[in-house]
Amino acid sequence: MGRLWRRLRALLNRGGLDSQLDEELRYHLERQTAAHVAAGMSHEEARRAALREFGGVTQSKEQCREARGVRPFEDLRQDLVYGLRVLRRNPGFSLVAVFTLALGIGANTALFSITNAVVFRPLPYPEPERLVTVWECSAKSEEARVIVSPANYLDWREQARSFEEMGAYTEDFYNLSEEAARPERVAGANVTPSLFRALGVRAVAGRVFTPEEAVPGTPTVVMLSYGLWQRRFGGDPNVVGKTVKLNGPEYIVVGVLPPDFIISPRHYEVFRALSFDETEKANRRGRYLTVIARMRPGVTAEQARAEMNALGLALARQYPDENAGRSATTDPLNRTITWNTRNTLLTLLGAVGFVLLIACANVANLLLGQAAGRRREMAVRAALGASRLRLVRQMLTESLTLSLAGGLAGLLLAKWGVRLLVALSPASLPRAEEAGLDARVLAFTLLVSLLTGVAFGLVPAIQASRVELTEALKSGARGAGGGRPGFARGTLVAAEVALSLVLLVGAGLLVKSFVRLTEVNLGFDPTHVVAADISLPYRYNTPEKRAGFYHELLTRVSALPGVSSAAVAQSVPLSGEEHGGRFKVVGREPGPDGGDGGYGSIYHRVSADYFKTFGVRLLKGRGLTERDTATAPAVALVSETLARKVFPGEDPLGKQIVLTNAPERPREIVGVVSDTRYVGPQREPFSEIYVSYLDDSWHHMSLAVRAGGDPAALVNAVREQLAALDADVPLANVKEMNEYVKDSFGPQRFSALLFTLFAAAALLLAALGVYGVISNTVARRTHEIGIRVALGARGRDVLRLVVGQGMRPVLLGLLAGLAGAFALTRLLESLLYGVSALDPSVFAGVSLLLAAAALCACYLPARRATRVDPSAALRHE
Amino acid sequence: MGLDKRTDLLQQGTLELLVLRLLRTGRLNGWDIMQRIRVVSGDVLSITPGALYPALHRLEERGLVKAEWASSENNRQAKFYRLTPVGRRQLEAERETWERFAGAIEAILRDA
Repeated sequence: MGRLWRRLRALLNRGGLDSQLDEELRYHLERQTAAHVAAGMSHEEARRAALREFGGVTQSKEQCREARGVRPFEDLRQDLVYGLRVLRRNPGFSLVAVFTLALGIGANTALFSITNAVVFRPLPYPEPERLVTVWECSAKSEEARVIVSPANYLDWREQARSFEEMGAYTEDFYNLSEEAARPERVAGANVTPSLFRALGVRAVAGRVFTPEEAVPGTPTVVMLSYGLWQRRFGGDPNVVGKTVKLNGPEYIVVGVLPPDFIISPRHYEVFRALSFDETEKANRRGRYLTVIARMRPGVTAEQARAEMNALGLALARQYPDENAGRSATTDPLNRTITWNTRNTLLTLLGAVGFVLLIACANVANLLLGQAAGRRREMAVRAALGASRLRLVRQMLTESLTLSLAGGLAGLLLAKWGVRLLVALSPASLPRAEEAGLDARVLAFTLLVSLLTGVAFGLVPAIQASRVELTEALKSGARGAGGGRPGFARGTLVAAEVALSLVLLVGAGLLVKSFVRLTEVNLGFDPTHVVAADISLPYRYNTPEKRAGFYHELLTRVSALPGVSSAAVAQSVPLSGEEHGGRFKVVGREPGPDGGDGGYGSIYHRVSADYFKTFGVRLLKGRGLTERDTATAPAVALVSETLARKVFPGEDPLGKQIVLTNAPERPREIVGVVSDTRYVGPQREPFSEIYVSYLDDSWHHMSLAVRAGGDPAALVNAVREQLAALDADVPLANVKEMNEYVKDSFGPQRFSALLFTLFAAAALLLAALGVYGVISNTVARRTHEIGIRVALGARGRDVLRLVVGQGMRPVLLGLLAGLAGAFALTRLLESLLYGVSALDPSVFAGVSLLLAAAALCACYLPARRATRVDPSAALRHE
Repeated sequence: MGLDKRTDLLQQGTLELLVLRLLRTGRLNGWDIMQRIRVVSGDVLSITPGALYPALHRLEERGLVKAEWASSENNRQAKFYRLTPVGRRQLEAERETWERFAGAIEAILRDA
């Protein structure tokens, strides 16, 4: 303690201690001199003898300081003070360097904080690394994952040894209402009580479900998300015990979940207890559960996966009818939640890292330019006894000062950049809104700043410390010295160009892919169509009552002025909600694959005008009519793709199919309609089946209205009609189809936009780098160019000389960059649509763009070189 | 040459022990210490200021001696060192160690 204090005091009171040391040694010399004089020497002789006997006075002083243990701090302080002075003396250089670094570090910090929030940050549960999602999968490929049937889930839960607890949920949508409040439609999930135990989550108010609440027929209970509690109930602490209506029946609120509760990329607001009655317990075919489990302590992910593999295969042998060809597998839960975004964000993080490398190369180049001018200074310091290490350290202190200043400024930029990124990010980016500058992000920024400082500082520092004393100290020697700095700068330029090219290729591919995506024929016409969700209360408890309601609504809405057609459908294209189903063809044997002999398809329940409203064409047969009710002969329409896949070379009209979803009676195919890209623009059309809503209508349907003009203008009129029919039914989630289309490009737009921004920054930096190097070369070679001009070189020759030399590293960089892009664009493959990762036009286009930019950057300083006045140049220095 | 050899005998620890011993009788400044070592050892031991002053600063840093400014002869301000209680204990301990060590060496040289 005392020693630390003395050391601190020594450091703070440095001036005082130093002068004391001087005084002490001076006293010694005086006494020694006096002793020599007493022995008979002259004063001058005596003094010289005393000095000689002393040895190196400065050295002694250093050793005394060292003895006090302040030496490392002292050196650092000196370097810092000196570094700051150098940087202040050169504000233009410092500003450019700090700004460049701030951009690079800021962009990295911003993107890292998003990635951190979405991908790296552990889930908000105890020991989140023990949480996994369990899937059914194909026995051949674990990648072909599907959700799980109740019977399989219950068998897993009973038999699997690797897990402490296993739970399941299924997504659902509810009409939420309570006394005297407007009903609204909310997304939610039916969850088994065991899910909360598996996650280890506690309610922030009230409690989570108890196991007894998973028994069918028990009092109906509900939990709320924190967001819903705040939004709809104003955070009322007495909400527990209150009654709310979900689709009609009453539920008692038993608890509120924590604000960061998350089980899926989709945001859920209401949770109902999920129970299985005897029929559901035996249901092995209907797959609708997402299963989450907590591994026992000490069980590895591989062990759990191996066990599920084996269990899945065993169940396939036991139940060949339902499980043939199937197995089971696991995934870390955070992977499941971040799914597609993980790859995108990591790719973008890599890209922005490239930008920072380019920024480093640029600043290193600036420093090398400076170093040429500081050779004299370095030589003087070396001559005065500074060791080479000391010189390197001093230069590094300077670059670290720069990079830390850049990091600080970058942090400010990042604070703003994170907000921008969150605003730009597609809705599918889970947990992004929680991104901020937390401790981990700050640590990242600090680390990146330090690494950056070393990265751009090391080469110039070593370069500068390599001083030939006599050479550099000769007064006539200009900073022209040696080929080495020129070589280093050329290499840096080549590296910058190569990195930029890789980024530009990436951006080019993503932009091209995005354009391809927007050009995709969706198979339906989204313009002028607005869609909304409708959920009927449970008192509409028969298909007839529901069909009657929708029929009446359609009649009223279609009659509104400005409406050209209106339809209901179970869900609308691109809404993310799709209802799958399987069907068999009557009279056909089960397929050779050993499965149930059926085919999968998307299953639509729609009204007659659905096709007109969405511009889906009838290709063959007839459409649906108001006469296709539950009592009429059952009919279905199929899509082109289905007709081609299931009935190749046959006429599908008149064929009978049986849907495995209720109600099961054979349906005659009466028409074929054009394909739609229902799931997303990048997904090839699926097989689709359309049946009439009058035949099989559900509580939740979507209403779609095609307007003659602006669809938004119709919304209020539609809402009035709905309220006139039943005031308890909300018009929820009103959204124009064009918005759905735009959102479906969201992730691609996000990555294309960011990549383009990064590539543009890279291009600019690389051009500046080339410009800087050439300008510097021209400045250093003014003398030489002057001689050439004096000897008769024309402007064109000078231009060719300078541009030619400048472009050499650029061309090398282009070649290296092409090779790098060739190797790296594979990583982009999963983000690309309709364009190869090695698209030649993109590779060629961006190479030309980069070469042109570099040529411009060379040309400007080269033109200055042609204007060198030989007489002035020769007089110079 | 011969002088250098003798100086080499003075390892860092030994020099510090001698300094502590000299300071036991009272405060001294650096020059005094140097003179006394030379005189007391009959010119056998001679040390350079370049070794002495860092040693003094090391001892001060370790809290074994304490420095103070005072006027020397002819009223010149000089830095004097004195032993601290810790330094005194350290001296006793090291002296014992040294005597055991020296005794052992001597015994071997005599008998072997």
